[in-house]
Amino acid sequence: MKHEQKQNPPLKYGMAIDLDICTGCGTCMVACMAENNVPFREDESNKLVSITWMRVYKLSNDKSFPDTEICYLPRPCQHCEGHGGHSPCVSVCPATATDYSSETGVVSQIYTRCFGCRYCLAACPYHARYFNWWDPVWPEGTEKYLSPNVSPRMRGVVEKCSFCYHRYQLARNKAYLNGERTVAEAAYQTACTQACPAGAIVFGDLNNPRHRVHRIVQPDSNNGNKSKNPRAFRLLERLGTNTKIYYLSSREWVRRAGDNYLAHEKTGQLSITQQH
Amino acid sequence: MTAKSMGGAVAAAFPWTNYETCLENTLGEKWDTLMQEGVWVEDAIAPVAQTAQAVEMDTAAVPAEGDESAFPLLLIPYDSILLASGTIGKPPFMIKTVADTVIKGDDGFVEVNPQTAQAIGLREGALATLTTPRGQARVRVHHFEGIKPGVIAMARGLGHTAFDGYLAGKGVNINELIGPVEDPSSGHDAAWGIRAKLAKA
Repeated sequence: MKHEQKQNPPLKYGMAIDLDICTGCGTCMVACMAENNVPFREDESNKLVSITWMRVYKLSNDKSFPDTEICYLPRPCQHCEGHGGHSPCVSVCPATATDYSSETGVVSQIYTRCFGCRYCLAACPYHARYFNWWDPVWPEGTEKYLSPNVSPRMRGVVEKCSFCYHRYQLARNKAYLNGERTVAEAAYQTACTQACPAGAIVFGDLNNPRHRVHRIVQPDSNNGNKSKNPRAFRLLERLGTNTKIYYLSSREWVRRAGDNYLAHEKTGQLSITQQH
Repeated sequence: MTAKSMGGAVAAAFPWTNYETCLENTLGEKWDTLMQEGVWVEDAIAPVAQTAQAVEMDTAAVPAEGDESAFPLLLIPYDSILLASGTIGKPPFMIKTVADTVIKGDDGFVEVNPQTAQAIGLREGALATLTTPRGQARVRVHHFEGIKPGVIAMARGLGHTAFDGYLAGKGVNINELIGPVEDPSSGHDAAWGIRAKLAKA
């Protein structure tokens, strides 16, 4: 990687998901599964083996009736940058089947390289990675909806959200053919972003001040890319995973649920190790 | 255009060349006002009455079916945004989005306030027998703080008998546990709930 070509300024694709807007309808999950040829089985109620690149969690403030509040939280792969591309999963992969792209900020998954050791599943703090315990089965007729742009996965490999990378490849090719130097914001959007009926997901280049996601998040490059938006937080931010999915909520208990805090610590406060 | 190509009476009923001409001709003077001021307000409406009251509005609320002493809980159905609630089947992806606190294997869940569940001795995920005056079902218990103590709820749209293993036999059809109760003023079904009893299975 010493001779990486740097013709364009590096892109850093990421998301801002507004939890005040999300209704928990699950459309993002369905859109993702349909777009990415994610298989399904008759019983999907064992969530440990149910493959959902995007998964909507239901959070609760744990207060008793009638003070109970809930919040839905869609969880794609967080595309951790870590420090210098050392994502938890990338660091442990013995096959270089997953890699951090410094060009796009996407954590890739190369199915043909993966041999199924599942170290990455253990390393991922977000349960964003899934193992194919079975070969996918498409009941007769359903194979017709499969996307030709996404390779289906076989038994024994790991898969996860790719930020719909095939869409980026198509958009990049199209831009090149049109003589454009960059991929426009609207030309590359993930399936979940486009499907969300509430418009809760905003996707784009976090490095590009003209992109909506940058304006919402206002990442602070001097502070580990922490958001300057007071409503924003990242999941387990204090682990230093430096994720590219930013969540927004006006509710303090939701922001607090995003990380493990000691009783005396304030929400959003840095951990002791980060302060030193 | 479609009407014109169909000819005959249909074409005659749509003499306008496009929708704009249609609006212009049918709205009359309102069209001119709309074009000039951008908005048209109807101010000459005579109200039918100053107040409105439905027949038998003051009658007492319709009670849910069942004897409170034999069935201490109130079972209500809820519509989940992740499930088609009617007779329509749900495609595999839709079922996949449903949490494991709503369906687990083929078992359907009933949402119970932890207080209520503890009083009966039902832990999270425990199997229970749900009995109503209309029927009985095997369910699992899901503790949820957000539901009122004494009330239990089940998702509508489960327990299909039709089609394949992706849909059939998952959960319980709550409609089989609930009967209709008529509202005396409108004649419509009023109480969607029913008295119920939960017991350890």
